Amino acid sequence: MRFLVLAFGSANLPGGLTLGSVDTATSVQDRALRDGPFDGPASALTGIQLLDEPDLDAVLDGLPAVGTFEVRPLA
Amino acid sequence: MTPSDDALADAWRAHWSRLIGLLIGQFARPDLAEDAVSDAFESAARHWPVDGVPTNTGAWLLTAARRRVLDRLRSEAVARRKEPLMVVDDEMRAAAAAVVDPGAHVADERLRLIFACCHPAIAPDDRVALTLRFVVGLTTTEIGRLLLVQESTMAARLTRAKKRLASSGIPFATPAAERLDERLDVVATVVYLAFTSGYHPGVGAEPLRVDLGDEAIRLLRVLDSLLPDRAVVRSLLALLLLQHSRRDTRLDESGALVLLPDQDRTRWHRDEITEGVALLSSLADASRSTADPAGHQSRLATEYRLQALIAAEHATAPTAADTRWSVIADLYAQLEALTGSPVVRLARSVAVAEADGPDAGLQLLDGLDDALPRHHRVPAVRAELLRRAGHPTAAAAAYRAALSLVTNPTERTHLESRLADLEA
Repeated sequence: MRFLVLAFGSANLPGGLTLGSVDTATSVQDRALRDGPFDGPASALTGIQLLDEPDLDAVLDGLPAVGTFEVRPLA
Repeated sequence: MTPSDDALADAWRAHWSRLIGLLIGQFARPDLAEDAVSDAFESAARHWPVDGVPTNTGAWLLTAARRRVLDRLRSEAVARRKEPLMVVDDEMRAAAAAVVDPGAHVADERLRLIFACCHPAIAPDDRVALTLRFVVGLTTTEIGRLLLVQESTMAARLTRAKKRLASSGIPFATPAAERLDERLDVVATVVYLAFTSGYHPGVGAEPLRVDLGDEAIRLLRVLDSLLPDRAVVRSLLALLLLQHSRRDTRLDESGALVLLPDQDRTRWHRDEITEGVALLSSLADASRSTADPAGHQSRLATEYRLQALIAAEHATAPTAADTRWSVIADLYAQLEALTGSPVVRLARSVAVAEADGPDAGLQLLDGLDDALPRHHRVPAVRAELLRRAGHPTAAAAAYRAALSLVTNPTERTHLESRLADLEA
């Protein structure tokens, strides 16, 4: 089985990936953008994807047209 | 104004946004670019009156601003601070670093700057603030006053927005061709908001250093020269020219509002009206020609074009009595069908009242109180039309309803005097 551990608040995962601050997040709902993080419950999280793209526009272009997403650079 | 004041004002107009764009292009640090260009202009204000105005003001400012960025980068390196870098491609960085004279340079980075400030991943209010700061070059104090936000709040918002620009992955780039029209619509919305904010500056505000109307028009001209033949840019340029042409007649000497029919038409700026009307006819030609392969005209472009056509009707009527109200009423009907906006319906009711009488206008006001519950103009228009239809008592009640909602002191004075006339 593969597991994913998510860290919250000031928790730090040695050897894990550190996300940029919430200020750097962009939320997307059915292609509409909003600045800031996804503001629903953390339990709504259903998947993750790690991408190497030149910029935010390239990431946004690759997202499905329907659904709620949050895009955040790694710190 | 001394010669060096003039030179400074000219340099600010010609170079502010280019310098910011070049420095972001070279160093990928929006925060440092802004501080450095501000410092360079402050330094110019100290040195030019004493040492004389340099032959090439742009090159002087660029050198001063670059030196300032390098100083800051050195002290950050000593403190081992690592700040996030904006996404700038290597080619752009090399090209920006090689520029010596911003005046002689093709201003590609200005376009990048505009699109970055108006990126849809930035909050709409912050897009306006960033554009006014980075592209137009207003101070935080001025932006706060224009957008009716306290200076400290505005400073905090700009800091946050700049951080976002640098660290959320927004590219310092002109959007790809397939995304350009959509992004240009966002830019146009920002420019229009900036323009209209210039027409309701804060209560008791000191006169502004700049005329925001002029600046918005200047920005559209830059866009039009860098991205020619875009319907949304041309339509908005026509609209702003036509609205702005009446700027000298909107208020009387005491600062009271002068309504359109009472404005002195000889003091409207004819050259701007001529240009606005010419732009509109060029747009009409373009939309008729089948040569436009995409046939693309965004809803927003059509909206601006209709608004500009309405403004053109007013601007070209020789006297208020000659206004072609039935043409205007028809344009408003098209605009309402396009936008579904109750504010447009309100304006349409005024035009219809002029064309077909006050009763026809009053009918169109039905239901608007629910759609615009806090809007003083709904009862204000109703009051005016009731007065004309010969119902003074109902008109007075509507004026009082409008007075209970109005916040702008100029409009309050106007409504009070209308009510007093009625009761006299």
